[in-house]
Amino acid sequence: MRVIRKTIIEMLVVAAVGLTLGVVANAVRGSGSLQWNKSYFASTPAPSADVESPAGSNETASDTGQPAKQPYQKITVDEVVDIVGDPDYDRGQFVFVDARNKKSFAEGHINGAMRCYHYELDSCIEGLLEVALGAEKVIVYCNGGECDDSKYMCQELIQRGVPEQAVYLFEGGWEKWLEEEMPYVEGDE
Amino acid sequence: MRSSSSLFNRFQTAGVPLLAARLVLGGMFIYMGMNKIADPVSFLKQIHLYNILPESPGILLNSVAIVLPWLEVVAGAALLWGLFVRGASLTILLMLLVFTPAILLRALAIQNADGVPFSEIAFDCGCGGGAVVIWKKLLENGGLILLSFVALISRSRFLCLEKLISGRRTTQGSLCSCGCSLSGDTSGTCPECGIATDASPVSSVSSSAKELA
Repeated sequence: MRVIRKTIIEMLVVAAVGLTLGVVANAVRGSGSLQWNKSYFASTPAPSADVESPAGSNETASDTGQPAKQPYQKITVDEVVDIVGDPDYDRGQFVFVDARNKKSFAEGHINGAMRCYHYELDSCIEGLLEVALGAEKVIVYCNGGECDDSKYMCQELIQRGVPEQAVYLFEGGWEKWLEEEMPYVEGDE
Repeated sequence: MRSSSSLFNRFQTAGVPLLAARLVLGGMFIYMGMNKIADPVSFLKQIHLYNILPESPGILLNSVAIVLPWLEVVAGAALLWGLFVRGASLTILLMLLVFTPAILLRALAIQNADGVPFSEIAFDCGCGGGAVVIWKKLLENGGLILLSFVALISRSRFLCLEKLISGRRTTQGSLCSCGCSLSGDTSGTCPECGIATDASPVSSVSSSAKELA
């Protein structure tokens, strides 16, 4: 009995030290720290009216609990290639948003893309909104595959006032861009 | 012919099994914990993929992502240094008993959804080592659970810091091998390893002083 009590006390001491270090480390970390109360993965509620995009490409409900219709649009890699390849392509009309972390962005990104990582929103959202609010199309991408960061970024932009019709999720994201052997730039800018 | 209980007692008091368990468990958990500490956002995303904790409110997911890696490092370090050995090994055992079924369930869900053979399922389980082949990971975790039990039940304190911090004089005039501290108990037998001790309790300070003399 004494051994059991001692073991439990030791476990509680280990847990208390771990908890304290975790709290302190998160507080002093700066970039990369997590906010305790923020719901990083909460989906936005579905629009009250039936919203149909011109392309009819809104998402349908999935088993993971996403709302029946996401308000943002979807754009394929072929459409993105057409936009970028258009001789009259005016970058001011279109804003590319790279929703990946700093390391992935530096390894390669679409030229002119603005980086805004969903988990470090405070450091980038204001600058992004200044540009996005006046753009014709805001095209958001992340790694592709299982990456959902671009979805969350689309939701954030719409919640912060960017018109739904202007926000586009780039299906396949960076993976597709590389598959098409499209040009890219490296570095933090 | 030795009885099985005698063999079990010998195993419990032998130093090498505990030392091996401490080195492997402590080293692995420190390494995996540090990897998660280096990138808490990635770890948060991995926990989310298990669909165990609710997305909203975010405090549950975020708390686990912030605290769990440090818990791993602290438990691993305690085990490695031989401090709070039983408490640290119980902490690690409980973590493994939660992680392992979660990994198995996720792998089974992938198998059901995609029809992939179980032997070919691989993903980043959030363990701190990147993408892994899941059946190998489950075997590895089984081994770690076994080692946690070894550390938990062992009465040896061979090369443990616990032994240096507090000691107990045996009737043979040397420190008790488990190094447990006195709590006013004068029963004459160490409750940890069963070695007979002096009738009168000796404080750790005075016993250390006598050792140095």
